Amino acid sequence: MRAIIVTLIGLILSGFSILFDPSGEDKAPVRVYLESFRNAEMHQLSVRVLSKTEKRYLPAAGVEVFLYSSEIIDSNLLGTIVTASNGQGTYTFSPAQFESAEKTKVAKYFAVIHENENLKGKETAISVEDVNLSVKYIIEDSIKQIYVNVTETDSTGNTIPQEDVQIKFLVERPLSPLPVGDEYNTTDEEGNVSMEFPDDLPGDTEGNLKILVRIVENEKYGSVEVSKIIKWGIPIFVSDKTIERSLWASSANAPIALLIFINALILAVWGVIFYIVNKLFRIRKIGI
Amino acid sequence: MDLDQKSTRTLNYFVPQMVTISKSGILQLSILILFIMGGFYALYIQIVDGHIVTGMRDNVVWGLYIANFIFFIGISYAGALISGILHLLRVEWRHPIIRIAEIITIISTIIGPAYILLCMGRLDRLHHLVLYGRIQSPIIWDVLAISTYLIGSIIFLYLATIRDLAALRDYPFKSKWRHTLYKFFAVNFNGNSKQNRYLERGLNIMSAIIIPLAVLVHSVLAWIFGMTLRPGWHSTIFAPYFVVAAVFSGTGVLIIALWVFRKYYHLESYITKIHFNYLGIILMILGALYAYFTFSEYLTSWYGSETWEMEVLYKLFDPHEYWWWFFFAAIVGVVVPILVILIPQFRSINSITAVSVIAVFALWVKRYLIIIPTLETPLLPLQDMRPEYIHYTPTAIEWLLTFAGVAMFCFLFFLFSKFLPIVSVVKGEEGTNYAELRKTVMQRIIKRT
Repeated sequence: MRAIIVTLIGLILSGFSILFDPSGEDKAPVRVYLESFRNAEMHQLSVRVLSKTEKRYLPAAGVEVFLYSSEIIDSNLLGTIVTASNGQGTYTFSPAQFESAEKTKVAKYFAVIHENENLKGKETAISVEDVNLSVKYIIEDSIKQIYVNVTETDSTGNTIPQEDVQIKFLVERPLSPLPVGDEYNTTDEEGNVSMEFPDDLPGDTEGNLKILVRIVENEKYGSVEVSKIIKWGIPIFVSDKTIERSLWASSANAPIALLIFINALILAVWGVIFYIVNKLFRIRKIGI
Repeated sequence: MDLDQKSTRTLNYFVPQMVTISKSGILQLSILILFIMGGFYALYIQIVDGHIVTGMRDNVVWGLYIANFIFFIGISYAGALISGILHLLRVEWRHPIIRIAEIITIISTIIGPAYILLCMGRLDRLHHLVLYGRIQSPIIWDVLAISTYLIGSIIFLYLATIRDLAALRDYPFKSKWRHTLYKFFAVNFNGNSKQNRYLERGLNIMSAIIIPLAVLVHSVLAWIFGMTLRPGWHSTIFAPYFVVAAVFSGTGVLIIALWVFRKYYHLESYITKIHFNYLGIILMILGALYAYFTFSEYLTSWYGSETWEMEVLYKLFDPHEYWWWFFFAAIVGVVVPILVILIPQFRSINSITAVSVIAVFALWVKRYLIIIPTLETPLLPLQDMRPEYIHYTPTAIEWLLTFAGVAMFCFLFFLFSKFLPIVSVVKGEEGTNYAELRKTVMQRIIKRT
């Protein structure tokens, strides 16, 4: 009974302290979303921060987020990022951090926002498991096929096929990757999924395409990507604007008309100036 | 050289003022030198510590310096257009004012580009402009146009002062160096008919060529902005808009300079109310034209509702950002001069000068508003964005260099006035006076009828 009364008094007091604590009044609650993305060359952690403004959660810009691996201690600090105007920020692992993360079977990452004068503190964590994403690019009867196999390796070294893993097929393009094939591609009980690659995609001048195979935002693995440059595209002809005569070309390739116009203008004006200087010399000569 | 009575009287009036300096003059000069020294100190800090001492950052890469550059190039129009046009039209009342107008042109064309150098991070790479410059770039056009314009303006002023230099050469100065100097620059001019003919031809050609050159200089400057795909800049009317704004501010500075010299050298009999009235009317017409361009520019941007254009417009119309400055630059600085000059009861030498001050300051603010709000509107979201990356606030160093530029402008004007009479002393044998010619033709027609 005594314990209940003490607890009740404690709760009431803490409630009052929340009501009357001026420091807590203006601080906005925040939400933090953390995602992992990795491929053969890099590992990135993407953070999205929303803060509550006028009863809605909106992207919070300029928020400093601390990223840790395994546990939140100073020695495990990976780095910090500051969110952009869209509330997002991306941290790319250093080569040493990348190498170390590659060797880890199950990694845990934390994103921590320290409380400041505007925002309440917040931390969030994700756990990322190692996965084998093997991809084969095969042409069968003139049909381009991509075969994907998703497995995990257990502690004894055996590979275990992973069923129901969503795979996305994309082609790298200048602004953002272009999705190809079906929207949903799910691995079967053998961990396999395949897709028929289209023939009509323009590539570079030699027909090269960079094909990306991705596990996207998976609960266990995060986002994992395998990519390969392959000649499965249609070669395109690129006219190099810098070697043509144009306004945006190098100085050696300025349009002839512009060169004629500017030089004629300079010659005309400077011709007049020299004519007048000549007249000045004549005035001087006449006056002797 | 033989001088008529009027010229001799004018010369005798100006020479004592050229060779002496009053106590108050020394004090004013000391204040100007103090500001200039302050500028040099700021320059030293900027060179030693780098551009971090300015408010300019990766995003807002142009600040007060470029606003000053456009402002000074703008006021250089005073000499080019006003003296050029008045000379070509043989307007009689031009004589007391064109010298001042031409000096404004030269000084401001020297000081303006200096701000470009201040804005550059690596002055040691200045020669790269010549080595690697692209003829397609409006910046190269600007360099070519401004340097040609400066030389053209110097020649124009020189031609217009040769007669005075010859008169000063023949004046019995006590100091030998003055005599040597004037003798060198007077190029043996003694006023014979052939010399007069050559001189007048040169003046006519230069006054004809300086007008398109001046238009070109400011158009090129406007194209640097207009050809950039940035909100608030990418506009087809920017070139004529800049030209009109430049003549507007140039006329304003000319009126202020006339008022100052009239007061300082007691030139009430040379620079009269007529000059202020005529220049005031020119200012009023230009103000109306400028208002028309401003309205047209912002109306089309607003009506277009393009996202990034609107971002800039919101900044200009936001009372927490630039609204009050915009209101001053686009409305007060235009409406007040027009109203004061339009209503005869308000029109006086002092009121015309006062509204010119308002117009000139408004035009400076306008240049600031052209540059900063646009650069504060990045086209892509920035990662690791900090407020100082986006928002620009001029630092004390930039203000010191700005005031130093204005002080240098006044100081060089003062120096000019110590070497040359600020008003033309000797009138030339001019060609056709179109006003006189028109009068004669009209009289003939009346006689016939």
